Amino acid sequence: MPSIVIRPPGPKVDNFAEFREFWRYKHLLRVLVERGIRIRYKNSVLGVAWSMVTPILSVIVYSILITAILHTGSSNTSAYIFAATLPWNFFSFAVLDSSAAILQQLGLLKKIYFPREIPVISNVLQNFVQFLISMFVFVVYRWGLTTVVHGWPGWPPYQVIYLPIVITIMVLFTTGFAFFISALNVFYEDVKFVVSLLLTLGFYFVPVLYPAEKIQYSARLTPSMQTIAYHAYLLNPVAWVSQAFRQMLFGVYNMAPVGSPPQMTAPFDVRIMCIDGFESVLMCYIGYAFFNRMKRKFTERP
Amino acid sequence: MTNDPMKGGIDNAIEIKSLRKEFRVYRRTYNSLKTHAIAAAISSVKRDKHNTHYDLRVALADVSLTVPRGQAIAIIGRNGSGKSTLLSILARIYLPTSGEAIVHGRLIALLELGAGFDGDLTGNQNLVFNAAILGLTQDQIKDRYDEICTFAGLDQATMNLPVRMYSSGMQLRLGFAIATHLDTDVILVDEGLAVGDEAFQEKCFRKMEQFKAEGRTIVIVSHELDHIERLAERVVWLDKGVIKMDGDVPTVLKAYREALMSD
Repeated sequence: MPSIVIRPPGPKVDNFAEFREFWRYKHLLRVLVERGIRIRYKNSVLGVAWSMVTPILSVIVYSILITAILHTGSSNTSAYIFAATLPWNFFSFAVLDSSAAILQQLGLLKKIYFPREIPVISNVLQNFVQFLISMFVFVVYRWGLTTVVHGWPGWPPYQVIYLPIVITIMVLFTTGFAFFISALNVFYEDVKFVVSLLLTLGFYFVPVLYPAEKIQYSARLTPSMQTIAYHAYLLNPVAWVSQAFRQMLFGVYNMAPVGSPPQMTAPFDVRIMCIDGFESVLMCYIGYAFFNRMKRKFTERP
Repeated sequence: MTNDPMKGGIDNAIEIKSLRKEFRVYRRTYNSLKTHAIAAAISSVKRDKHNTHYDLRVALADVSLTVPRGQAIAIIGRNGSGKSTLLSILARIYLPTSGEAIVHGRLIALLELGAGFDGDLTGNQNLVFNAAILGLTQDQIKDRYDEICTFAGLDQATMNLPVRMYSSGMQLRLGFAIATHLDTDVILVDEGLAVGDEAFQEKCFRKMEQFKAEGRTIVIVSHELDHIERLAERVVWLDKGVIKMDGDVPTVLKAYREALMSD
């Protein structure tokens, strides 16, 4: 027969014990994810199709902006942008949603005990389902629609085998971030405004509207500064994951306009993957440890 | 909040040892950075460490209580006596300030029937969610589905409707039906019986009596002394966070009623 010992919060938190406790409730996580997706699209005629409308429309707008107004793109610009919006949209929507994750469920948390991690992780997973749908739309667009209109665009380079690892890094980093934001927002409701501000600005620090390699070719920096700035930029896992999606799905190509010296995009770099992978694991662990400290006081929120 | 190997007697369902709970009552709500900053500024200007921006309210003052397995115990007391706090600590909603509580066996707290029901989801969808949050696995939900619907008196057509179209009675019946079809050794009930019409209350009573007969432990918090007389075999009277009286039902209820009269 199971026994539960209820004690005051101690000075130390056993994060692994907390995780095992969470894992015992994994069936609830599944139900909550399903329910969240159902509620998200309840009473809407298009239903889940809505989750495809935003990425498709934004890619169309960006493509028009870059090819027709800025005149810098090549023939596959729209797909090239689309690939980088996949991880960025997952990250930004998951983080934005997570600021409300605990507060929304606080009424329930005051009535029934279940691990406080559940709402946060369920929220990340709901956004991950959206990500998978967008991924599917991307594949249809890149290798289905493009083939019909322009002909076969070619297979992705062999580095596409790293896709599961890159996606794992993306999810770990996002989850760690979501733990921080959701816990802080319970006690400081300003956090959600700060987060949406940072996400708006952060968009420009992620290679969606431009290739990351442009930093390496920036004429305003000395050659040594170019390398430093480029690598410092890629230490941000969100920026690197967006770049990695392009590298894995498109391979190396010349992004310079015709007639000028070649500017080659960088190939997938396993060393940077290791560094950003380590950062993501660290982020996830620190975020979780912080969350575990804060979660004891959630129900006693002033 | 960890699972611990057997400690104490297996004959006890709940062992509470000098359990204390203090709440911070803030003089104003501190939910934004601005208010936090102002509070920090004020306390730094005053340079007085004892001048906090909150008061401590003692909800439970070192309560000790042992409930043997299979006992139906009622907790009574005026508003603010700490009854609900005690229940919430046993239900793991709050952590205690000091002391310890051990619950042997699976515990279900019915602090609210149909907690988490979403009006836009169907009866079926809400059943699955509510049962999962109360600890049932998918297979268990499937096995007990028919029984729960029958007990709630809801047919298939109704279960496929959004819950917002249910009457409040139907929602309560569904919530109660789910709550009473869980695997549980210890049941905590907070005023849960004082709902629904006469017929439904009678059904609830019979279910509680069945639980008693099955040897499950029941802890009831209620103001309805009639309900307590019918179900409980022991009453604990809490007053301002301490146990004022603990004994058999007629004795404690008599003293409690006299205290209520004399106020």
